[in-house]
Amino acid sequence: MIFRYIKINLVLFKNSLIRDSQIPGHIVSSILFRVLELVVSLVFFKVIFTNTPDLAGWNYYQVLFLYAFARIIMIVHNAWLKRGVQSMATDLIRKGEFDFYLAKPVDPMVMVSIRRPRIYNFLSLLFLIPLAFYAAAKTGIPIGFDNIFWFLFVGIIAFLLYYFLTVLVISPAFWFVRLWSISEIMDRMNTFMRYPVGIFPEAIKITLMIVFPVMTVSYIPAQTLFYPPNPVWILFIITVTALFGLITRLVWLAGQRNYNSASS
Amino acid sequence: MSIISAKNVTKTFTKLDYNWRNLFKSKKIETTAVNKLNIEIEEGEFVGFLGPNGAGKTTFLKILSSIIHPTSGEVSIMGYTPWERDFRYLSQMAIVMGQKNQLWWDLPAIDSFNMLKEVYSIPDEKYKKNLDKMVETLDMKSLLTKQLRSMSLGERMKCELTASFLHSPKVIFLDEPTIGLDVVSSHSIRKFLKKINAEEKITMILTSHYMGDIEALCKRVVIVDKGKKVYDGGLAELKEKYAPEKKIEIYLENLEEKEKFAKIEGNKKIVENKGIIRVQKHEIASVVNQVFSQFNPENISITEIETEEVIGKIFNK
Repeated sequence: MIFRYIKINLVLFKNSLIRDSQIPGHIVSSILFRVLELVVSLVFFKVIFTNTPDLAGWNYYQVLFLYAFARIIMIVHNAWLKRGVQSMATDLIRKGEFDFYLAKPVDPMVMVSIRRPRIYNFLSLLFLIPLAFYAAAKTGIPIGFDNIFWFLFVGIIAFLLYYFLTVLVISPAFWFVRLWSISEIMDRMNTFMRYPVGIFPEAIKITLMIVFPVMTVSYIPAQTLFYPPNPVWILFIITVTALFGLITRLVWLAGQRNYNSASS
Repeated sequence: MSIISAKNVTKTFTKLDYNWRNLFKSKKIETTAVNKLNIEIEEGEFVGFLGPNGAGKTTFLKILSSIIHPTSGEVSIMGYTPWERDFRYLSQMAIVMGQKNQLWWDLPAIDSFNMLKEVYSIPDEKYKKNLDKMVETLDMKSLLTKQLRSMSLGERMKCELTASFLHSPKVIFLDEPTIGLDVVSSHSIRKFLKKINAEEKITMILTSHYMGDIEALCKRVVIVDKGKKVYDGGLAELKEKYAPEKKIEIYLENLEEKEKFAKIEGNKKIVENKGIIRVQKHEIASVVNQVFSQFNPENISITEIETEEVIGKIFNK
């Protein structure tokens, strides 16, 4: 089954390449925008750290790594899944185009998510991955193989958690149909992923680590890289991801049952 | 044994009616699109679904094709319940919607077909064979590398049909496949559907507002109105039941013939230079004798009542 989705995904990536190659101007401007966004963020962090030696115990390079890692998760999600997931709230349900996903032998949630990759968005990783490596190397914290292993493991789980959250956020579209603004919620929540958890008041911390665990996505993997891997944190992120995976799936299936298509 | 069996299928859409003034006094508005519909369809049958807009035809097709859940009732297609979305069922079924595209708008058709090959896990050999066959039957080789967005409506429908037949479905639902098409395109689509139904024994359900489609393709018609089935049977029997009469048309060459026509008894009218008499079948012999003795036989034609008129009669009852 999983190989089938990999094959479908490869065809969709190829289709995206064909489509995107027709709009080179848009690709170039989009990359320039990403570079500018990166430079502005770096300047912003530099300004903050000229006023304080650390943020909740995290030095400049650790925060830089956290930022780069959060951006990597967002970029992979943007390039691969975001447009498909968002289209549920903007087009598919409203226009009844979701019909075709239900009438095919595929999982509609997976298929909708991967339907519209923006493959050129992956190009931003060319800046972000070196930045993450550079920041990790400059922290001055010794990073062992166990850190790297658990970081990668937790990083993949964190990506899944991020995906489940984005799907959960757009799921009300099954009931309310016209929900353009809902597709933007996740973009606003992303801001919290860039900072160490310790800088936020307790109430926000609990909300964004447990109730809507968007900070868990970036903070726990980054923490696992810089400090001795903590089984409690690892177990926590696995549990939260499994729980949100289950909730997302149940809400999606309930939405699917409630789907009434659009009249022709 | 029926390949499609639907029992007491009902679909009610519920909408909340609210406004800012009565935000907390919202009321539910219920619309029953399909009302206790029963139908049995045998393998290889080509059944036409007729009804005015909003009769529930498309809703019923969407229930059969696992797109929406019914409010109540049972459906079994090849032993599967559509809304349970068993992949074994979905791999043997297809739906074509005349007003929606399943293909990628800004890609050449062949890229969408390749995508569907993976979606349905079609083996290479079968995919090639089916695609070649469709390309030849629908004469669409030049369309394979053309972007969907630059195709005409007729060309797009050929591609949609190809996409739906690539995985050799056993059951196919066609929701107004010829809508908006010109005469030539409609004819070629009908020809294709007729051929494939005869050769492959694929069970097909067709909804269409064009009687030409139904008359050319379906021996059996189901007529629905306000979600309820009002007729289920042969097209010929439909005319027999609702219009047991024939139409005699006479071209009236001059005023003298118009006067002669006026003296004939029965249900008649003159439209421009054409005299039209509607005759019950048991009276036809005597009226025909009378007409042929008074008018030039070359100017006389005897026809069935048009199906559209029959359907109109049913809905206006």
